[in-house]
Amino acid sequence: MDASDAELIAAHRKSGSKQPLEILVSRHLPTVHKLLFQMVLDHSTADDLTQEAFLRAFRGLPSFGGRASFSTWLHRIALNTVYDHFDRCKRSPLEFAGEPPAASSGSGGPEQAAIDSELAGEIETALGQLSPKLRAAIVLTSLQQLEVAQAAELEGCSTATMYWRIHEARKQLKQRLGAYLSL
Amino acid sequence: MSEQEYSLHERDDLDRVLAAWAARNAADGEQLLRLENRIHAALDAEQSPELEEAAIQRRQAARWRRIAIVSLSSAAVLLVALLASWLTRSTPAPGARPNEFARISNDDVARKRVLLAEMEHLFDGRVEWIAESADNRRGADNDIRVGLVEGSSRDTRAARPLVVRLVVIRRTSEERQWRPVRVTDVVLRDEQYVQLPPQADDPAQLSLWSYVLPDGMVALDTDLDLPGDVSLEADSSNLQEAGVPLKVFSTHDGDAEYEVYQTVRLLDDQVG
Repeated sequence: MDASDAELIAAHRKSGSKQPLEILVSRHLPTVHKLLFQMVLDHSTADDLTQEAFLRAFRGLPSFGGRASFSTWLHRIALNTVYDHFDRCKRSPLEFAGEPPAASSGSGGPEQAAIDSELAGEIETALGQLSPKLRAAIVLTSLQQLEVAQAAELEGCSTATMYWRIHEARKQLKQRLGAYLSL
Repeated sequence: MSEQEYSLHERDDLDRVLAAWAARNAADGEQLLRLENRIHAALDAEQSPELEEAAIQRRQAARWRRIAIVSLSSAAVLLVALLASWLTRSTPAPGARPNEFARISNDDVARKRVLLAEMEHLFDGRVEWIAESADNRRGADNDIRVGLVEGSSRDTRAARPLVVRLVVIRRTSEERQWRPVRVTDVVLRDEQYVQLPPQADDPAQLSLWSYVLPDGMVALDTDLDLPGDVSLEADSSNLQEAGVPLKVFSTHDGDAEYEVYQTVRLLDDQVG
């Protein structure tokens, strides 16, 4: 059976070996990278921030008390890394600087429409125009599918505040994407 | 919006469109493997406990470098007049209604504008926030702290400036009139997170985050931790109308009753 995150951290603390950390990277890399891409809308930047987030987390392991799960703690660090990045770049709302969207592959329901290049561009523009806090709210709940309380814990705000941010983010996105949604 | 009004189970077209977009943009296995190898290599480069500790120190130092908290004493000469205006601000007469202690007058707004403009001038446009506190329990000098961005000036001009006043008041059963215990004014900008750490002579901690809605209502997250004989921990998230004091916390300690009020006003609004 695979070792749990807590067991891997304990093993690292005991032996100083880097192997448990590498397993933690493998385990959490896809979700952390996805979160960071959805926040910064650029793969290259998301790569850099993912690396930074893991290194920050491992440097901070001595202070990790295990009160929250490692995953929660890591994702909180990832979000802080994004906010620091926005702070450094003074680019919020940001402009999409990623790869050009692929060509449309057909028509159909909203899922099909989402792969249309025009809509993809509109989604990225709409997400980029949200404030970082509102973007995080929609990314965490709609895309990462966290419960509102979990999202609030990650963001360090109350559940009520998170509900409000979700509401506001959805309202703004629907205003901007309304033409593409069959609401 | 209340919890009852919104449920994440009510996923609609917006969620489905976003999910399809996210799936289409997810990194593939090869990209992730490359990144994983890159992170392993970076880990190799700094893995010893000594380096870990050094990295933590660097991280903390960088964090504090970004926001330099400047004591007013370093600029006392230039700010005497402004400080005096803070010290002599109008305070409600004893017996006033509790929310009156948190009211921000038009004069206060005008003074904050001047304060912000002077500080911006003094610190070459690097001012992130200004916090003024007066604590009657300490009997010490009032305190002004300024959060600065290190380096060149920051482009914050687009964000609307606000002032938030947080007032702790107290009364006893013997003396029924409310009296202010602590008053803190923070000038900040829309969507800015402000964190005031404790200091040697002031153990209070305060963090604030604000968001101004298009209709002028303001969402405020406030977390005040006031250690002392009576420990107050007021953690609140509210959507409130500019200029209207709001009670965010109340508690009792034996004979004494405490309440915390907060008010927010936009500094770029026309004052009458």
